[in-house]
Amino acid sequence: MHLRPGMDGATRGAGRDLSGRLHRAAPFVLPAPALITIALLCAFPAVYTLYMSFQTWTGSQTRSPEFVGFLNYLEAFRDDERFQMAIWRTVLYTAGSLALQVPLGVALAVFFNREFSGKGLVRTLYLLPFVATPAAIALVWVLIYNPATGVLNYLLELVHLPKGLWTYGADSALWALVIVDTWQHTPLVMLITLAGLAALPLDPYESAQIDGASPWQSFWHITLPMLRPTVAVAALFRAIDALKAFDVIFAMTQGGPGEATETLNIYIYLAAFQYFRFGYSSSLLMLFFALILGVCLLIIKGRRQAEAARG
Amino acid sequence: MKRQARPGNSRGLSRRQIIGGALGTAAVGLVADGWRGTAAAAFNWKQHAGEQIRFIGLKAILETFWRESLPDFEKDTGIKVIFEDYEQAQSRQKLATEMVARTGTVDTFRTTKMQDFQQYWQNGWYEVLDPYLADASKSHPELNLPDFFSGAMESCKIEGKLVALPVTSGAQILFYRKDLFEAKGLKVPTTMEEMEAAAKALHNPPNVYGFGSRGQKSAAVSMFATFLHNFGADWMAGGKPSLNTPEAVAAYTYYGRMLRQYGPPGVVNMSHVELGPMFGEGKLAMFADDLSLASIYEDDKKSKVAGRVGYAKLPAGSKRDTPTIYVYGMAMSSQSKRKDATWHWIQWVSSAAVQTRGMLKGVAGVRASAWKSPEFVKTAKKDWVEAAQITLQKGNDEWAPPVISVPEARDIVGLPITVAVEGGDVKAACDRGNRNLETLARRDGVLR
Repeated sequence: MHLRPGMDGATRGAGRDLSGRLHRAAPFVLPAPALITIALLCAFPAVYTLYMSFQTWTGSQTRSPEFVGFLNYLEAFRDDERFQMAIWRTVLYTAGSLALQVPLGVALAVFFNREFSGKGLVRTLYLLPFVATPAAIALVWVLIYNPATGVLNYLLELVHLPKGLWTYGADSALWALVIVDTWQHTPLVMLITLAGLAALPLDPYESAQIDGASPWQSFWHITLPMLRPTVAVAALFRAIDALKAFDVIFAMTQGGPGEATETLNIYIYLAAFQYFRFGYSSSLLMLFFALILGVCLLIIKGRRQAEAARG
Repeated sequence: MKRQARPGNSRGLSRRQIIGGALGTAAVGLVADGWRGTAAAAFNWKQHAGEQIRFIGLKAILETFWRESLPDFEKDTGIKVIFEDYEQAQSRQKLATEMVARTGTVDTFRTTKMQDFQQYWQNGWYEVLDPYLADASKSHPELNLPDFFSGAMESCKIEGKLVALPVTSGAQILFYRKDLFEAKGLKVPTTMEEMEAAAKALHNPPNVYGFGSRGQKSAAVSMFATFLHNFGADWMAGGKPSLNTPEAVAAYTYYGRMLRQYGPPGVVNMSHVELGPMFGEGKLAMFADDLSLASIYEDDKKSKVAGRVGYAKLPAGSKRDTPTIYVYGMAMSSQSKRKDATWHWIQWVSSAAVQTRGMLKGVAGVRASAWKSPEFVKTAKKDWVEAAQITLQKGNDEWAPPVISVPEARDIVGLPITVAVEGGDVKAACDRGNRNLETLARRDGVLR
């Protein structure tokens, strides 16, 4: 039989034809293996952590976990000064990282958006910190930061600038780590912003030029506002990552000197794998998750409001 | 006595020789000791040849020595050892993670009372070794238990049950540069004040720093313990934490001041891993750490100060004179799938021959025969032996708070050290540490 215009095979064999049924079921069946795997890999640990957060367990093979209700959460808020300090340090670390990386990344993106000879090579070089492995970065920066034998203090001395203790002093350690994080992740912000820049329409710039706007005015009043959604995405990625930062901090200072760089993730790791407090660390993880979720929602809401304001 | 395969003296032997040797040993053992039952299955070093066991350890002279000895072990027993060593904190975390996961992939590890016993025993991770000792087919007849120092054996027992065979006793001594001391006409310090004066006189940055000792929060605790005790303080007194007594605050302040004023920059992040080689390069005038480091310093190829190093007991304090010691034993994981092969390893590594060889490499043994071995007596430096023996004699092995959650306690009591080194408010830090230690002790159920 012929297919008349406006009619497809499914209409003909509606509900009765095997291939039609398969065709309709495909969107559910084909992704199913991947979805099930992701559900198991993500959902199971999350649910297990939630379950453990109401227990207390030291990893013993002779004593099973013991139900304690909300006791762990109570301890975290009421007794655990170290937990509260860790939250504060995490917030400081994230805020410092964002404050440096977002403006720097945007500036670099604008710089690389023009054409100049050697642009490809220079841009690749700028991307390298982001591609390097965190452990290698940590080891190299520990050497650079060494107050007595490191190259940073040596260079500062050459130009008569004051030397510092960097990661070896309790006051400067957290900021020294923020510098490393900035060095490592600014290229990501730059990449995302470059993509955003490439998608910008050219008309507003033409009108601005006709109206006699300077390059700086074009940038400040046209480029930046149009880039806001892109920058918000970059900031969101960086915020989530900075809140959870672990590998570089652990490899460089292990939370030291003292507790100066002990962010939440580091403290939770110690509570679980050094102090064997699996129930307590699970409750801290749930609180940590709530914190990250909260920050994400804030940024997304901020972006929506900015978009609404723009109209 | 027939030639037989013995640790440290392995040669390629034919199977007949080995079996003959083993039977001969068993026969002699029966006659001589008389405490073995019927040797129905004779002990044979090679009864588990072809098997493989896994060891997780720390980064220290001890592990370096064992690693060098692995070829001998393989020759003697035919057992292959997967030998892994890591930094202290990481090693313990790795071990704990694998034990919690119950993968059964760890067979053996070294362990010490103050750090591990409470926690590991509570978690059921130790394999009790008494049944193995009692089984003639599994234990080497010349194990010679009375040869071990009795104190060391006791340190390896929990509730009367043996969980490890002692392999070494660490002791904290003072390493000092004889040449620098002589040049300034200084004597070896015997009090805390004298040590500070010497550090001040010899402090000459950036060539030489007056005094070095661990500053990193957790690693420093075992080295700081001597100072705490010598100033007349304890971690806990009468079942309650006592970190903020005037004596404790004085101890923290002294230790912090010594490191801040006469230590290398960045010492607050350093443990023996960084400081040990520093002394070997001649950058420290004095260094307080474990006596086994001497083996690096006396080696021409590894240190620039060979022949110029003196060894002494740490100075006494105003109230006490009890330097820190710690016995380490080789333990077996209760989850091991190759327990008999692991028992071979434990016996071998704690045997008289291996410990005697260890003495020559700076590893203090815990067997009387090791200390009396003629080769050691001939080559050992007199002041090292003296410092070691007097420290082991007077030693106090309570180098960490007597609680169950020791790793967390180490971080709590190590924090005031960091504050002291940085010149902060030590009393406030000690008060806070005391509060946190009390919370921990209460949680552990050891608070009175």
